[in-house]
Amino acid sequence: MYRYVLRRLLYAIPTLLGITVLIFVVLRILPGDPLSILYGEGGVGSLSNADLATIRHQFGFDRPLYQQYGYWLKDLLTGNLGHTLARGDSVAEIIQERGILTGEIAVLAVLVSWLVGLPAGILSAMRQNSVGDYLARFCTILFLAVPGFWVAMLVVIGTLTAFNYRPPLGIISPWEDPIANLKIVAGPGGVLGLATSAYIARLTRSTFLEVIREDYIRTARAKGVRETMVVLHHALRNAVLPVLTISGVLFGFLLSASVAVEQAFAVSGLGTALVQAFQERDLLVVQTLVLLYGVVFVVVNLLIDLAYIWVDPRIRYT
Amino acid sequence: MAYSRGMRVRSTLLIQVPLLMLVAIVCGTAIAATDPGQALPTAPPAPAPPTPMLRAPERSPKYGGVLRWAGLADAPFFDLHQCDTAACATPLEPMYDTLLRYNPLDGGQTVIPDLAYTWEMSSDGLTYTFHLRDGVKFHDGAPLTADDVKASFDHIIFPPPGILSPRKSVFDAVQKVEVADPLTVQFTLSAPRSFFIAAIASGWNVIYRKKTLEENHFDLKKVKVAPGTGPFIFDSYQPGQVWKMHKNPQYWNPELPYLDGLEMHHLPYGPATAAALLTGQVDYAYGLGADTRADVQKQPDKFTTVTYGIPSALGGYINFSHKPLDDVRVRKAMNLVLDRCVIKKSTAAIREINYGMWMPSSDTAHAQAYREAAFNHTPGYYCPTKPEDIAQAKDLLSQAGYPNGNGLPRLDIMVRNINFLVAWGPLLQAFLKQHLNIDSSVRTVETAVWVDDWTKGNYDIGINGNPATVNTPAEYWKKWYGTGSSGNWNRGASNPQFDALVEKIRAESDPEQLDDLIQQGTKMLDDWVPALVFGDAVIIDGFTQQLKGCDRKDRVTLFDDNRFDTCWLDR
Repeated sequence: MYRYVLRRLLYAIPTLLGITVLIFVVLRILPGDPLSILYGEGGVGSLSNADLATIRHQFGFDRPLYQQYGYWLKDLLTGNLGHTLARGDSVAEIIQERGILTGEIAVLAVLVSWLVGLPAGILSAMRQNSVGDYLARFCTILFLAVPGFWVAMLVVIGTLTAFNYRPPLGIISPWEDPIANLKIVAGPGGVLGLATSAYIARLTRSTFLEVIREDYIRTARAKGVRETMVVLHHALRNAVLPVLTISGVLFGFLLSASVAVEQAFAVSGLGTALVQAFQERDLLVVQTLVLLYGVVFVVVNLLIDLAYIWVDPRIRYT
Repeated sequence: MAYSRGMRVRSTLLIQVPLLMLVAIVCGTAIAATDPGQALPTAPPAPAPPTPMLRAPERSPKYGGVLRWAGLADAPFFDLHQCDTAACATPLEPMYDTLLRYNPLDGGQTVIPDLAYTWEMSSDGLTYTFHLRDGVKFHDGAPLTADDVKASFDHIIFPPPGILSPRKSVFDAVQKVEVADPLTVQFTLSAPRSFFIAAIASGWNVIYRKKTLEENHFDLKKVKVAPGTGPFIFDSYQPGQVWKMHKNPQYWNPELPYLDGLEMHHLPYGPATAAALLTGQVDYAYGLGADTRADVQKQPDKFTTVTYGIPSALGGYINFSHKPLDDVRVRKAMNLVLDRCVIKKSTAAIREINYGMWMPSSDTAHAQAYREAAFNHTPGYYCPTKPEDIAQAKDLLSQAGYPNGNGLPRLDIMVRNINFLVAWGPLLQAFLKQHLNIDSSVRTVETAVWVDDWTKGNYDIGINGNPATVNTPAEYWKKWYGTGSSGNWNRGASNPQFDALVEKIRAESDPEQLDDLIQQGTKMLDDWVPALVFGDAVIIDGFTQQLKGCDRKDRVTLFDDNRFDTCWLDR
């Protein structure tokens, strides 16, 4: 087990290195000079070439790319995440301050997706081709088809016009004011959760349809086990494994989808910070945040693999 | 283009030196309550600051409360001298003072004393002497001296290498700034500048400590708590979120500020700020957006809205270095087929703009008569576009060697990715194709790409918005259309005759002469067409009825009146 975890962690190293190379190269290929954003049209136009060269040197933009990449990796390995280009804000503080909101949104979305998707999938499978089944399938298709940010905008406008409600402004940590914090993350978490629940519901339905036709289910029913026990104890534990797997993948989807949904709800999470950094061509911040997303994705998927053992004791990692 | 002088508004306070002197006198009486003689050019320096000072217009303003403000407050950096976006001006200006200031009680239409309680101009208009208030202290306890004023203006006018100064051209005539004594500072100009006092009073020109500037090598971009002398003191700042400030108990004006503090939340322009206001999360919303203004106006018992222009030119910036755009006939033809009403309507749901003309509507002192006379009365400004104008445009294109648009290369229209600007790319494309058979492609690009391609000249027409500092053609014409100006985004555009005319305007203080010169300028621009001006920007603010002392219904300036020191909350 420990060797398995260690092996997985070692496998993660080339994956994360690949991410660093990819994001570093892609950002350098994209058009748009960071100094153009920093100083604006008038500013760039008013500075002499010598001034611009000096500024590029100060920021290290004149170094060869391999050196820039090397310095970035070295800083990462020594725990120095750097500072934003223009204001000099600490990237570590940005992650610390905003990451909690994005993390809460992602966790809440997973919870909502399970709370909505699992029952919907089970009911749909148990009442196959019933009105409830069709309704559940219609809803899942709908949530799959509609972009999350659009639903988010409807929710924002709807709650504002109907209830004159808007979530609290700014970043409020759960320790500072749990209720206000929940109000901030509930909207994006709920919207993303509903979108993700569609995947969960469809997968649950299809795996459940397979499982409930298995011999051991028939045997359980023949023995007179109550239907609730059959479904929740015998069928669900086997049907949920693929759902767990897809949840890990969906967590990555949630992180990326939260970028747009955070914008729609004006939540100042990491997604918003990433968009802003990208618009400002703050390459260091973009690189670091994308890498962070990669690390989270790798770790979450490892945890999900480990959760298999808890769900299905027959599984052993060596 | 001809228009009657009688139609003109004579409120040219900001550009006419004699009237500015009158303003100084008036300010001395009504606000500074100094001996009127002290403000006259020949008067000796006054020995002590006058009283009473600026206060809220209401009889019994209340003290206390925190004003919660929402709008653009995500400053890209913290040096007001180097910055040129509202996102810097709004959150930073409450912590600083300027030498003179625009009067917050009349929307910034006049200039009143600030750190300088009085000033004098020499008879030749080449020397300005400012007398500072005694006893003013920076937030770190250091006293304000003339050295700080000199260091601040040197930072703006003569920036060291690598330091930006987007507005230094406004002070192009300033030869030197000198300290006459610890509380007197003197500016020497090489030529008279009619708008000098207006430029000095700009909210951007805050006074920093000399020591702060020196310690940071004159670069305060990353110094978020550079001490000021302003009515509010920095408390905290969350990047992209909120600025918090508290009242300066040692403020040199003992009456101000009334508020205990300010919370300035960063929210993007448009519905987000309106939602924050409607739900009571903030008291003041900057930049409501045209679509959400109506929602706020539905509750007149709770909220007030104000609409004001900012000196700006929004539209298509022409790359003169690309043929055939160097041909004035082609540019004039394109300008003639623009339907300015359609352009205005195209963004009405998102962003209100005023009709695009050579002088923005925000310049109430000079532009009103010109705009009234030209709009819907002269070629190029009819709504809808007149068939005669279209015929003339086609004729011009034929004369340029492109009959029915034949032989013209496909134009590259580059649009900066800002919601209301995005609509204008296809619109310009449609005007050019429909009336002149000119083919073009539209590419909407991020700001970084826009600036990059603009710098490299990789575009034919670039759609963007360009603000100015002072509401006078003496400043904005030089910035937008002057040869070599960093704000002239029409790449390669140069008209020595126009440059010479603008220099005359910059030096002219006689109202009659100035009117004539401005009229010549609009005519010259009509004949030259350095840009395709689609509109000028309008800002819509909304605020609670409980906010008093800073009614901004006559506001004419965006960047210069963000201090909130006369505001109070009636709670």
